[in-house]
Amino acid sequence: MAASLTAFESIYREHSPTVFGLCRRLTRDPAAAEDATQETFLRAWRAFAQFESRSAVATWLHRIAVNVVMETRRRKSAQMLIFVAEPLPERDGEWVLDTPVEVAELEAAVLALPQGARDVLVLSGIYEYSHEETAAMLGIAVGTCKAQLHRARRLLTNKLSPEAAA
Amino acid sequence: MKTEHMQRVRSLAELPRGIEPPRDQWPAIAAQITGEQRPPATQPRWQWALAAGLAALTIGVLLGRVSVAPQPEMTASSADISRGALFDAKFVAQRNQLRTSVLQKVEALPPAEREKLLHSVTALRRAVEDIQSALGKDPGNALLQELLVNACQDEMTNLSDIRNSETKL
Repeated sequence: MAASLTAFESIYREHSPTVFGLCRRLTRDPAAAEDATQETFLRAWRAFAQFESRSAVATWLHRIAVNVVMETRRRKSAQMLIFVAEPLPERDGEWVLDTPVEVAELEAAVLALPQGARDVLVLSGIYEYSHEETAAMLGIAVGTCKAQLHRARRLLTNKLSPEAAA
Repeated sequence: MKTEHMQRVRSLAELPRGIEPPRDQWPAIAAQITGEQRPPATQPRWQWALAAGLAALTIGVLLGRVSVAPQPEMTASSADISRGALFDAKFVAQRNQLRTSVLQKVEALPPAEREKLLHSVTALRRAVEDIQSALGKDPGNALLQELLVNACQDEMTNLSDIRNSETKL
């Protein structure tokens, strides 16, 4: 038990910033992100004995974190997310701003996005999960994931470089 | 942190993935972990297997002090027990009959030996019942099914050994 706990603490030390960062961006609330981070590591500990592939520990923790955040959302609000279908992007290259902006400004713009678009943008844009992985984590269709990403990027562009969007 | 936030970026991939939590959460997590049992999925299985194994071992040691006679009419040898047979009414009736005859035989033993054997026979039975109870909640669990078969085999083998042994101590 003591040896396992020591090993698990090293996993916490290494991965807690990215887990907290993910929870912070998904929840937009530092206190909720702290709660979600703690719950993520508790769930991870309970499943630690069954976890075998140490190389994918970050992905494993991120999946748990997304589940924790989604469950908390469902508990707090039973409202359905209404998604308005938008045309899919023709190509899925990296989203790049013409003019650089400060990190804090980009973070604020991400946090201001609508929930569905933000979830997808955070997972695929910042944590660089594929559409398939992002869709699986969020429990949505891959097509929905792509459309939400397109929507998020358009909203970000409008916010950060309106002249380019015009 | 402030410098990092003033840095200018053009893409999301340039944003730092990690954000340092405002406080170290490890003490709270560790306190909760140490307050909990070990992961429940694994511990009882070891306990059951251990309980059954220890009980069988005790019976074996006790029987080692008596001569074991040839086994003429084993009602259900360990080889006969399959997963499906465990729930068969005939098997259950045979086991109960065997158990009754063993308990009668054990009654004739000196108190100290009797107590040890009864304790072990009861431990074996309890291990079987615990595993059956867990299987009721998780019927598809292959490991539990295997544990149940093993525990029933141990129980039947030991009951048969006791019944067929001579009681000269």
